[in-house]
Amino acid sequence: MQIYLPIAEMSVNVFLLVGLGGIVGVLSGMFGVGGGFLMTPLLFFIGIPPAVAVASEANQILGASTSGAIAHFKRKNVDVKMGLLLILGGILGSAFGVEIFRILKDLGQLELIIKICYVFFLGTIGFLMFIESLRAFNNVAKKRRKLKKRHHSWVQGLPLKMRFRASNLYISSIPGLVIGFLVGILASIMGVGGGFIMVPAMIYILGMPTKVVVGTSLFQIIFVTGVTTFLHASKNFSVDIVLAVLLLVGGVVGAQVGTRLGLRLQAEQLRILLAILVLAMCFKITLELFVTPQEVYSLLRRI
Amino acid sequence: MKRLLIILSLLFCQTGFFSALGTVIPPTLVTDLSKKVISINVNFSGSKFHIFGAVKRGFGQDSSIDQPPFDILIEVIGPPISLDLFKKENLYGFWINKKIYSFNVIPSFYSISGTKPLENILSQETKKDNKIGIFERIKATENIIADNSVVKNIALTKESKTTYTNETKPITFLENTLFSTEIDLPTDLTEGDYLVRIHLIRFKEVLATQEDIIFVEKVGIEQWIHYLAHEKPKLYGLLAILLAVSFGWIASIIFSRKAY
Repeated sequence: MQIYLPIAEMSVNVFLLVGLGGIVGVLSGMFGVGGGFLMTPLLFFIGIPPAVAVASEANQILGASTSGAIAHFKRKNVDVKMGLLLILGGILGSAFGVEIFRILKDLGQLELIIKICYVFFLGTIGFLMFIESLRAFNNVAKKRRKLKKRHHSWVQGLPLKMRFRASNLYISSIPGLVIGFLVGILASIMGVGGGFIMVPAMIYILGMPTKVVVGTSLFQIIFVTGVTTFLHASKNFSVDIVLAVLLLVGGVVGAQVGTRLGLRLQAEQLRILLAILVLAMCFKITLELFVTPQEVYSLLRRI
Repeated sequence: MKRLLIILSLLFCQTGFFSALGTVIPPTLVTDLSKKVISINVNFSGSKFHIFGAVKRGFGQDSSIDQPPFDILIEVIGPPISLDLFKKENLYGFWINKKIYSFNVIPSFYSISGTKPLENILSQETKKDNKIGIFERIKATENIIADNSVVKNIALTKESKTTYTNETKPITFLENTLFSTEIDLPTDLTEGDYLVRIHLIRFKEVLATQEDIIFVEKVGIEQWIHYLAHEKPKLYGLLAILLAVSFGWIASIIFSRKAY
C-alpha cells in the first residue's frame, strides 16, 4: 500500500515505513539507545531527501521520547534544574543549527555535511560499542574497575556556580549550557535526540548520579526536539508529519516489544550485533562520500 | 433545408475562393487529453494520461501540403520553478557540490514524444524557432543565448530519467491520421498548469501547433498539509509537536497499563 508524503513529495510503501519504525523501536527499547542515529540514515537509504529526513526525524523522536520522559518524571528521576539549563543551551544550539542547516541547504552542501557528521558519529559510536561488547563477551566487564566519579578540575574551576539538589552537585552552569548547546546543534543538523552524547557527558563531565541521568536527558530531548521541529517547520518547510506519524506508529510499538525482549535476552551480548549494524551503516555512508557518483551533475530546488 | 444550402454554398465558395487565389490551407490538428486534471491524493504514486488526436486535412484540395508523410511531436511542459545546477567535484577524496548555474524559470517537467526521434523530424533551426526540445525550451525561457553546455548538463542529472527526459518517446500513428501517446508523470510533480503542445510536421516544417493544458493539484489531506506547511508554517510546526506528543502520551497510557 503506497502513501504519498506531502513534504518529501514522494510515494512510499506504508508497511516499509511502519516496519522501519518498528525495527528501530525494538532496537532502541532493547538497548536503551535513542532511535535517531539509526533511523535517519535508514531514511536516506530509502530515498527520503536528507533535509526532510532530518527534520521529520526530530519530530519522531519528540513523540518516541515523550512516554519515557513521563515515566521518569513520575518516578522523580529528573533533575529539573539541570534539565532546564540543558534545555536553555539546547534551544540556543537548535536555533544555531537550523540556521546553519538553511545556509548549507542554499549552498547545496547540506547532504555532504549531514553525511560527514553521520560517518563521524556512527563510526565513533559503533567502534566504542564494538569494543565494549567484545569485553562483555570475554567477561572482562566484571574485572573492569569501576570508574570513579570524579569532578574534573577544570569543571570545578569555572565560574557561575549553581546548586543542583537532585544531583547533589554544586558546579558551574557553563558546562551544562555548553553540553546542551552541542546536543541542540546535533538535533537540528542530524535529526538525533543526542542522548548518546548527553548521557556520558552528564556522568563523566558533570558528575551527575546515574539515577537521574537518563530521565534528565529525556527531559531535555523532548523540549529540544520540540523546538527543533518548530524551527525546521517554520524556516525550512521540511517537516513531513505523515512520515513522522508513520514512523511513530511502528516505533512506539517496537520500543515496548524491545524493552520486554531486552529483559529476557542477554542484551549486553546482543549489543555486538547493534555495533556491527552501526558500523555497516557508517561504511555505506562513507562509500557514498568517496565513490565516484553515478551522476556528477545534480539539480536542487530553490525555495 | 434553406440553411443547409447556404452552408454548403459557403463552403464551396470558400474552397473555390482559396483555390482561385492559389492559396493552400495547411492541414490542422484536432486533439484532446484523457484527463484535464491530475489530483495528488494520499495514495498518489505517479500518474499517466493520454494525448490523442487526428490530422484534419482540408477537403477538395489536392495540394501537396495536404499529403502524407506527416510527423507528430508532442511536448508536455510543467509550470516554472527555480533550480540550481550543481557539479560534484573531487576534493581531497570527497565529492563536493559546486554550483555551476542558477535557473530562475525552468520548467518543472518536460517530456517529448514523436513519431520519429526529434533529431530526424526537425532541423536545428526549426527546433530553435519553435522552441521545441528540452534544450531549446530552457534556453528560450532562461534567455540563454550561447552557452549550450550548461543546458546540456541537465541531461546528465538523475532528473533526466523522470523529469527532464531528452529522448523522444514513441507515438502510435495510424494511417497518417490518428495518433495517440501516453505520458508518464513522476511522483514529485509541481502543482500548476502543464502545457501540452502538439505539432504537426511535414518534411521538417511545422505546419500546425495545437496547445492544451492539464492541471495538477494536491487534493484532500495532501493539499491541506501542503498548504499549512508552506503558508502557515508556525501553526504547522505546533501541530507537528502536538501530534507527536499526544502520540507518545497515549502510547504511554496504553502500555503502562499493560506493564504494571
